[in-house]
Amino acid sequence: MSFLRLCKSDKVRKFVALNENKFKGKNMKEITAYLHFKGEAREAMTFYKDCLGGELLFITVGETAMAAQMPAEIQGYIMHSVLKKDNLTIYGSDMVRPGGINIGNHMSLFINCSSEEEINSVYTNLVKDGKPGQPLTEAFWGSIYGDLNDKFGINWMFNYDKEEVINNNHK
Amino acid sequence: MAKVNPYLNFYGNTEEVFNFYKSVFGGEFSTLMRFKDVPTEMQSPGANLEDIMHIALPINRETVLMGSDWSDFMGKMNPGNNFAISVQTDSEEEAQRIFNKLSDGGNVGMPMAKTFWGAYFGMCHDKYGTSWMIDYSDARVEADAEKKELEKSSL
Repeated sequence: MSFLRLCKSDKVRKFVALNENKFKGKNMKEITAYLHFKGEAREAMTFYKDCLGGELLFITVGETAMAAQMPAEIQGYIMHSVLKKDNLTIYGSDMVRPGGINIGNHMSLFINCSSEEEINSVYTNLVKDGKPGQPLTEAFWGSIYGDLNDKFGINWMFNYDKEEVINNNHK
Repeated sequence: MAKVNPYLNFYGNTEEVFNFYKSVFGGEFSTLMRFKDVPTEMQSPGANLEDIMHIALPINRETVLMGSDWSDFMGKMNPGNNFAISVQTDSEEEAQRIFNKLSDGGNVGMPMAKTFWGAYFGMCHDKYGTSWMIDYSDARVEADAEKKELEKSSL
């Protein structure tokens, strides 16, 4: 949330007002996945919005208070972006640590879906131009499960718990 | 609607890593399943039976930190740097405490400090290679302030 203060503009205020209910009561410990891209954060986050829905906000380097200290060629890069839909939050950025980016496979985004239709649709959307891993199948733990590597190199895992008991376990 | 959570893989020490995260965030594991708990006909050849197949540590009502042990039958593990976990805390003290614990034995990318965007913020890698961003700002105060500014600007 505080990242939204990177840039004081009407677009940020409108985003906060629009998502006010989703931020309300969020003054509590929370973890969120933060993704780094090699200059393709805008394209990737737009793709995720198309796949998952929700509201998306971009803050470019040029829009922040740090703009004057940054080289001209990176002004258009994404300093911070947030995709927000109900309980789902993903952060994305083009900012990379010194030494460059290394797209790893040791972390994934785990999506707990709330219906069979939802898991089918998010899997089908995200696998476009990416590499399917485990196709959606009935897993021995009583869920529908599948995974994939999307076209930006991000790993996703999908789970839909058919049994309410297991669902409660994950809450 | 769907929830999204970070899922972490480690080489045979997931249990140790998650015990470390439990000591940082508190709480209890909601799931701890080993490869030996997998039905025999579903077992992957080459998996170490004592390894963690799935572990889950709830952080709050909505977010869960999850993980499992990597096995070589899954291919080669490549710990990348394109993924971090952002933690929003309840207070500045909690942010500092979590940061100190996570960076102990790891390395500090940016020490906890007030940033130009108003947050108390820092970045570190823990001793197991996971990247963290620790962030405290009073969301409710901010949301109210932003709303008032928005109302003012639309007058």
